[in-house]
Amino acid sequence: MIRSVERILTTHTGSVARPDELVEVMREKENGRPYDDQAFEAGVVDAVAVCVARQIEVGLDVVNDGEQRKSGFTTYLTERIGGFEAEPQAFDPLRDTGWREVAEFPEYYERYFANAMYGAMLGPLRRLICRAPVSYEGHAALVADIANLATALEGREYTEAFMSAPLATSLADYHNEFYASQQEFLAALADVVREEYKAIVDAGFLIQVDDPGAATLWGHADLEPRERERRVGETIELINHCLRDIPPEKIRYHTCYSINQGPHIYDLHLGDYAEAMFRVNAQAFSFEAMNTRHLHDYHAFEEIKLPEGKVIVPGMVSHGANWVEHPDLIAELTVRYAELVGRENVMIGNDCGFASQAGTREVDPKVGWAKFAALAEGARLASERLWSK
Amino acid sequence: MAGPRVDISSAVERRFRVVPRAETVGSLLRPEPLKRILARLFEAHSSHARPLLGEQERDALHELDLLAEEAIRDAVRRQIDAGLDVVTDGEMRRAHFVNSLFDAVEGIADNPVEDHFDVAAEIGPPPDPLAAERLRIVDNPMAREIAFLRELTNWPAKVAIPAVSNFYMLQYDTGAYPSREEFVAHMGELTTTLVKGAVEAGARYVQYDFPLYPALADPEKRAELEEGLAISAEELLSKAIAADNAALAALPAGVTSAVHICRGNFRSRWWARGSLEPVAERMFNELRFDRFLIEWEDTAREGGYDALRFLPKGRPVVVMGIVSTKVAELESDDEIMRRMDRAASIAPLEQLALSPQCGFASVWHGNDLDEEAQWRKLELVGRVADRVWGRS
Repeated sequence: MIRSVERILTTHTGSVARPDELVEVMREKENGRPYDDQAFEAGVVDAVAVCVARQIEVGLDVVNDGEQRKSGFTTYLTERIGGFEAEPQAFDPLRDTGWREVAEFPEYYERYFANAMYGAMLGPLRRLICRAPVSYEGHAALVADIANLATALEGREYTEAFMSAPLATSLADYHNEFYASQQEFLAALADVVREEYKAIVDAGFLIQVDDPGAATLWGHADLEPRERERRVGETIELINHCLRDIPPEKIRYHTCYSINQGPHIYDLHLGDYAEAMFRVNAQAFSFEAMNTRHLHDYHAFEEIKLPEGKVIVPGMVSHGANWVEHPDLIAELTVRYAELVGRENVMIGNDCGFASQAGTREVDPKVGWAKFAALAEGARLASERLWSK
Repeated sequence: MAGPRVDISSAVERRFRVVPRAETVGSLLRPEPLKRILARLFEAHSSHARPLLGEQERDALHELDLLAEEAIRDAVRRQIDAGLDVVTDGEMRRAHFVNSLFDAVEGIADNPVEDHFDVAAEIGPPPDPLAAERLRIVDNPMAREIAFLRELTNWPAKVAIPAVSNFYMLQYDTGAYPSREEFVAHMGELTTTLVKGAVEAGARYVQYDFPLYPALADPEKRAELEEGLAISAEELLSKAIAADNAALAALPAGVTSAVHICRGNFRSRWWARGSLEPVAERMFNELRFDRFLIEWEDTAREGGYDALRFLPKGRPVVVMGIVSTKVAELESDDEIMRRMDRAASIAPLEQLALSPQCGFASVWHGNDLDEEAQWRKLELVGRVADRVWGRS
């Protein structure tokens, strides 16, 4: 992984708005209606080419395919993993997410979820039930994704490229009726998802594993300390099992606070989960920092020492608002992180994907590009300050 | 930002000839993603020029340019590898070869009148836009094209713009202009301004496309022109020569000029036929272009090479367009050599060069052949030129 040795490098967390026409084909596909497969594939090729070109144009250093093929950052996997049966699911996010603040602000979230997050999913949420051995069946799409990114990068000037995939633990909510235990189920899932990681790394790209779990200590935050540590330890062990044999310097780990726009009053803070997160065998760690609820989280590094060799990627543009962060603010905050952990250990990105669900327009596509341009400018200003010393 | 310069390390020993002997006419087949964006952009338009698009298409145009840059980088590298002495950007950013002019102006409108090359199949290029108002220059895409090429490579490069005499053709709707003469005169002024801008941006080779002369050589088109413009063919030829020469006056010394004698090119169809005999003598002797790129791949339709006998000694150079861009089938080296021998038996070899007959995609749709066939043909041009003229 190339580090910020001469200047602060920029990247982002993965998803970028898909073109409207592609979303419409995808909607048909996700709903099991007839769609033009050739038009879909051609649409993805074009969208990746444009997305890569624009990232480089606005000045991002470590780029990706914008997840243009994916219907959602985890939902895409459902068509790539065998062993599951899908059943209609009456999912009510107000009732079923279990998030405390959803319970506290139901009026807000009722309006919000109507169009965002769950409300932006292209197809109905389905209940996936594992009723046979899980297996990886997404080779064709994976190979196409890798080829599309490689083609789009050909001849272009960039620092590095990455592709994302979720962690098996993110799929733990799927129902298991086949494996004897949840552990066994997760271990099998881990092996399946690893196919994606390996293919991506073998293609010469970095792999980013997406896992909102860390920011909640994988759901164990409210347990009493000893039990919490035991469960967190088990989860990290499972994650590292999932990442085994892949060199840590090829791995970026991304976490976030799950909800894009909301009060966020029950979020943990960086200081609450950073040390646990750094035990994951990855080199770079991406987390939300421009979310105003977390703007001051850099203080965590006054107490916590960043382990040797690790890199942090604080988000310096938010996915939770449509203002464009001022490059001066980005530079100021970047310098604070850099002064605490060392400038070569900092890259900057966005808080989370601008289009985690393909159909979302929570971050307006054009505003998203303006945010990336601000990010690049902020990195330039921060580099001037950090390297003039 | 042009990105990395084109890597020509694969051609370490390769040098371009000072007098180009191998070149392409200009346009190259657009990669599929570019075609898809262009198809979408112009779906609702009869004419395909950027100023006809709305504000809401600005993003798509920007994306088109970003993808075009990548295609240009690849095209430039492959042209150099093919052994061409002059490269173009393949006109990747243009929807239509005439758009170095029409993308630069405001005042145009969609032209509903189609000009079918193949009347039975109703196939013809998107009609050139009409002048709804007196045209005003608001941009100079040709200057940007050459600036980008100059960032990519030091290899000689050319840009192209329609020849001024082209605007005598009847398919142009002179719209807001009171007369054909005023329309042509103003197009000449616009052309001169745009070419000056391109030269300032680094152009050292400017090609003027699709002049009137082949139309005057086609008996049917000639009759239509005489009737439509109420003027004799000979008089029209004089006016065309004067208009094209006037545009050349703006070129500083050291800038190569060329004219491409084109017979129409859209989806492998042609527009004009006929031997150049009726116009060749005056064309070669009165026009002041340094180079004539002549479509001459089909002597049954375009007449034999005998018209070369009118070529004055010393200049200009005639670039023999004898490799077809309209069919995928690759000509053999020997066949092209034989044709060059035939030309060289009439004109001195030092006044000849070699190229494909026309562009591969004068309009974004492209001709009926694939990119691989296109590159094999350009390599053939490079290879035969090396055999004929060598490479110092």
